[in-house]
This record gives sequence, C-alpha cells and structure tokens, in this order.
Amino acid sequence: MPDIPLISNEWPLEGGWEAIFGPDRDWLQTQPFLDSAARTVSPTSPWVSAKDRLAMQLEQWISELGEVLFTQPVTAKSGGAYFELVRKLWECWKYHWMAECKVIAGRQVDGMRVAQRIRKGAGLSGGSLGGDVVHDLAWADGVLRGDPRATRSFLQQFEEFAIAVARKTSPRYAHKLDWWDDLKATLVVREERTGKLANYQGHSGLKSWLGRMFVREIMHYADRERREATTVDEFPGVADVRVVPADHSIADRDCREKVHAVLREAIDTLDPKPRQALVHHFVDELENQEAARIMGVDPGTATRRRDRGLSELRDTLLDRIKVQGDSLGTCLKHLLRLGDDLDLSTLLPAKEHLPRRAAVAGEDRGERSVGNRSAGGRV
Amino acid sequence: MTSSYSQEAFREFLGAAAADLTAPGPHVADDDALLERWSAGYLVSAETHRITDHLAACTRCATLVAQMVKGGVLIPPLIEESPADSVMASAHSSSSPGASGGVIEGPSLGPRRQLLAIASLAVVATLVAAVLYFGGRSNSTEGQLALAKVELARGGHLEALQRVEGLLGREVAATLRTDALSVARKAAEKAAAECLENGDFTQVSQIAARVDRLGVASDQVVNADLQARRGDPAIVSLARSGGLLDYGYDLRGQAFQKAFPTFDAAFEQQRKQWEQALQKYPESLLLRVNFGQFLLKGGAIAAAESQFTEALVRQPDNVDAQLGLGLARYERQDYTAALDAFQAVLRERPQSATAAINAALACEALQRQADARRYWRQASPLVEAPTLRDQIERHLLETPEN
Repeated sequence: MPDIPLISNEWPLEGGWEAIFGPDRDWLQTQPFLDSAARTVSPTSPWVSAKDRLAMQLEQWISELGEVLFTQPVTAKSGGAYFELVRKLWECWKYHWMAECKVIAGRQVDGMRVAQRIRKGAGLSGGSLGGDVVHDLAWADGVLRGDPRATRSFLQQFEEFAIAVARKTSPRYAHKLDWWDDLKATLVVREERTGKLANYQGHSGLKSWLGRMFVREIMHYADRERREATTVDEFPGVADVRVVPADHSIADRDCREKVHAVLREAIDTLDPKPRQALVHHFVDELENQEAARIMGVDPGTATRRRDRGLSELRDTLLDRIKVQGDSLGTCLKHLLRLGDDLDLSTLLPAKEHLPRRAAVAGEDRGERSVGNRSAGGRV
Repeated sequence: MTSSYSQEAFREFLGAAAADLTAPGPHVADDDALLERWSAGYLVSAETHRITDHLAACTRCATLVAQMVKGGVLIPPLIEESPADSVMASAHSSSSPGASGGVIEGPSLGPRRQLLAIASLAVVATLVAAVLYFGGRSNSTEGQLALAKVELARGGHLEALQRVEGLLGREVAATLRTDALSVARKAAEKAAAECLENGDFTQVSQIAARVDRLGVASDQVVNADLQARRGDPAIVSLARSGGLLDYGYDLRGQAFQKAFPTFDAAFEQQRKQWEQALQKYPESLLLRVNFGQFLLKGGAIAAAESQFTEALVRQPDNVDAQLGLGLARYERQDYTAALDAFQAVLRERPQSATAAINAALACEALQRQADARRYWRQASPLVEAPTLRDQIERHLLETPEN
C-alpha cells in the first residue's frame, strides 16, 4: 500500500468514492486483496477498506502527475474537474485489469500489480501499451481542460512526433503539414470539450493512439491525392506506378499494361499468406520482425513465407512467358531493366533473399497441386 | 541500369498489383480498439487469428497496419520460434510433403539444425537420467539442488530458479545454501536476459523481485529489470542502438526525425532507480553504460558523457562506452572529439558498421568529405540491412567526389 496521505475525505461530491467504485462492487469483490485482504484489514467493513485502497492509488497518481504535468494541479477542492479525472483514471485502470482477468486462467488478478504494469506501459505476453497510460490520460485531460503547461507540451511534442510519423509513412507529408493543422483543429476544442482527444481513454499510450490517427490521416490524404491523379491518368490500374520516367511511346504503354496484368494475375493466384509476406517485405519495406508481428508468426516462418511467395511468383511469371511468348519477357526486361539473359530470379531485390530453390520449389509444386487457386475464391 | 532501379520498379509493380485486394469488412485496420487490445496482448487466440486471417486477405488493411508498425505506433506481440516447433515442422514436412494443403511453412532441417535437434535430445536424456538417479531421494536437498543444476544446464532457467526457491525455504546446511544461491543467481540472470530479449518485461520484473527476496545480489538482474522498466529489450542498449541513425539522424547528419524525447515523470523516476543501482553496484560497467545510454536518449547529454567517461576510466577498451561517448560528443556538436571516439571503436572492432557510419557522419559534419567517403565505403559492405546498404550506395552516388 503506498504511503501517502489520504485526502479522499476532502472530496466534496455527493456519494464520494462509492459513486466511482460502487457500480463495480460485485466484480471487485471477486479480486484478490480486495476480498480476503480487505477482510483482514477491516473484518467489519471489508468493502470500505477495499475502496480506500483503490482510492489512495488514484489520489497518489493525481497528486504525482499534477506536479509534473499541470500549471495548476488538480486537487479534491477542484470539484468537478477532480471527479472527472478520477473517473477517467479508474475506467482506464479497470479496463486493463479486466482485460488481464479475461486472458488469465482463474480470472483473478492483483489490481495493484496491474497498476504497476500500466505505469510501465507493458502489456501481456510481450505485448506493449506504447507508454505510461495513466500519465498520458492525465495529460490529455489537462489539455482538454486548457491547462497551459499540459497544452504547450502537448502541441510542441506531438508536432515533432507528427513530422516523424509522416516521414516514415509518406515523406512528402512531413513538410506539407496541412493534415496536421486540420487534425490539430479537431483534436482539441477547449471551450466545448468535444475534441477528438476526449475519446482517448488510456487503452494504449497517447503517442501510439495519436500515431495511429496520424497514419490514418496521412493515408487518407495520400489516397485522396491518388484518386484525383487517377481521374486524369491514362492507365487507371497502374496510376501510381511511376516506373518509367517520361516514356510515353505506344510500345511502352503496351508493355506496362502487359506486365501489370500478368503480375496482377500472378499475385491473385498466390496463397494469401505468402502474398502478404511479399507485400510487407517489398512494398511496405518492413523489417522481418515487424512483418512477423503483423502475421502473428515467428520471424523464421515469416521468412519462409516470403521465400515461398517469391518462388511461386517467379514460377507463375515463367509460366506466363511460356504461354505469351517472348514479348512479355521483353517487356519485363524493359520495364524492370533486367539483364539480356532474362532470369526471373533477378526479380529478387537482394541475393540473400533468394529462396533455397530446390527445396522451396519442390514444396511449392506439392502445394500447387493441392490447392485449386482461383482469385475469386480466396480474396 | 542499376539493380536498385529494378528493385524499385519491382516494388512499384508489386504494390500496384496487390493494391486493390480487399477482403469483406469489418476491416481490422479501422477498429482501433481491436488494434489496441492486440498490441497489449489482451486477445485470446481465436481473436488473434481473426485479425491475422483478415490481414492476409486484405491488402488495404495490411498496408495500413504495416505503416503503423513501421512508425512504431502499433507493436503487436512477437511470436518466438520454439525449437520444438522446428522439430515438429521438420517431421511433418518430411513425412507428408504438401499434405496440409499449402500450410507447410518449414523446409527440411539442414545438417546444423539436425545437430542442434540431436543435442537438445541429448540434454533431455541427461535430465531423464538425473531424474531417475535422484528419483529415490528426489525430496532430499541434495537431490533438489542437483535437479536444479540439470535444469539450468538444459536451459530451464525459470524451473531451476523455482526449484532453488523451494529448496531455500527449508533448513539447509550453510555450504549447500551457498551453492543453491549461486545456482539461483545464474538461473535468474539467464532467465531475466531471455525474458528481456523476448520483450516479456513483466516476467523480468518478477524475476528481479524473486531474486531480491532470496537476498541474491546480481547487477545483471538489476540491469535487466531497469531495461525492462524502460521497455528496452536489449541487455546492452548501445549494442543494438549505437548508431547516430538510431538517434534520429539521417545519412546527411541532419536530424529531422530525432527520436521522440522522453518527457514524463517516469524519466526522473527511472533516473533515480539507475542511480540507486549504481550506488549498489558501482563497479558494474553494464549498468553504467546502459545508464549513460538512458541519459543520452533522454537528452541529458552532459550526464551521459560523464557516465561513459567514468566507464572508460574503469575499462579503457570498453567499446560500448566509447561508442556512447562518441554519440554524446556528436550531440553537443564536438565532432572532432566524436570522431576520435568512433575511430577508437573501429580500432577495437574494424567490422563495426555502426562505428563506421558514425565516423562517416562525424567527417561529414567536419566537412572532411574524402574521409567521409572512405568511412561510407567501409560501412557499406558491413551493413546487413539491404535498405540501408542501398541508401549508403545512393548517398555515395549523390555526393560529389571532391
């Protein structure tokens, strides 16, 4: 139990802490330390003892964070603002506590341990919350209340962060910050307190929460610009393929259409999992470990999926060249600037990514005979 | 045409070909609450599969999620490959190739992996023998300690720690107690390092608390605990992120995307914890160098430099401290001194791509272009990541010779 002064008696609101914890009483009393331990501390009124324990933790957080985040720390005398912050922090704590109960056998978890975990930004089973959610929730609350210190640090630090995220997502938006100005305007509306920031509940760190919003916003801007460009493009299907600079000959356009069509067909016929691995590696340019996290597999499996995808893609393209004749091969050579002796293994961007051809190709042939791959059936 | 042109073209064509493959909704990437729970490790297995299956079929969602992961704003849990999985995958693929309808992921084991499999079987056999040997007196203190040692040897570090904890709860002879505490320390150090590298930070803190209860002193466990508290899975931070590129600089030495600075109360709190740890283990270079990196990352440059200098006084050839010293000096724009430090690292480790890149950047800052090019050329073949290697090559092409 933290050694801090109990200030809950100063709380002037009607209903006191019961208003906060009362609705969760049944569930709380099933949890360790809030049942048996509370009974030990106060045999006659274990519920009061349990509430005090939780209240002290919330008060400690508010007192500690108020010092570092706000110009004017929030205290029990602040009335409504204090109640609001207490409520938010309790909802956040409860969310993480209940989530842990859901995945833990027995469904009983020490809430104080949860409190420590979420301050460290740690999830379960190696997961991450992306920051100290208690700190971030108090911070966001301060911004919404218009606290000068919280707001100043928020705008300053997240503008830098917005630029950093934009550089990684789509570098052109790192210097063209219209999207950030638009977002900022909707994020914090102090007078009405209806900004998007009010939706932040501390389920993940503020940096992660906002970062995901930034990525969506940037992608939305990029999509809109791409759509506008596509309407005037001669080749809607390959609108954003800026492969061949300033070459508008008929032959070249034919080539692009042909290569795009055959690649599209090859991609369609790939199994979704190796296809996803290919896209993450070559298009999204993710590190192998990042791709593995998204696919929910270990890094070794992610590598094998990517290699299998490449091998299948190469085989399909070679098959299509056999069917369509040399013209497709010439187009591939021309557009991908391959060597004269067209070996589709050169499609692979780096030699170390070459699959062990014999083993993987053999495995692929086995798989291909099993699966009846029609694009419509899979996607 | 250069090979990078082909790569770029391939990437663009592939991206365009896959761009409009979408699966029916609801779309995972639009459900932020689900993404939050996924990242936190709050999902049960069926929910996780629903996400990964959707992402495999829906390029739109997969791309959006990929951008989030790349930007570090979504960190789904990493699944570790267990040796048992590899063995099972191999057995499966060799007995019935292709029989699972296209879900076989693993090629057959190479000779090295076969040897590893045999070695792990040998360890298991040793354990079985030990259990049989001590079976009759498995409850004796000596038996328990011997089993703990076998578990430790076969890599069951947590099991070994647990067994010793049980053992130390009893009355034991002083000599046996010393031996048991030594096993507990080794087991805890190995388990903490393993859990840290796996990103299981909660487990690391639990191990540290258990070791504390046993009264075992270990700077390695304390270090792992402090690293876990700040969410860094590296045992030595500078071994993983010792390059200027890790601190927000680009190849021109500019810092548009400087690392997001630490700004909360947690920084001060953690700083105190590091200081306390160093008071307890003043000779621990591991703690000191990591503390230096912690300060550096938090923007306390002078304090960081002082920690690295102190570490070098104790061990002049400590390359991590030297690397950190160079980074700190670079941060305060003393590029000549920074270059000295990076060159010192290169003298100890000529194959260090990180040090070569740092040295190149210091030379660039000093306008010593010829030296910079020499270091870039030295770094390029040493860099493992193909993207960075391409960037260096491109940088060399874009930078004039004179």
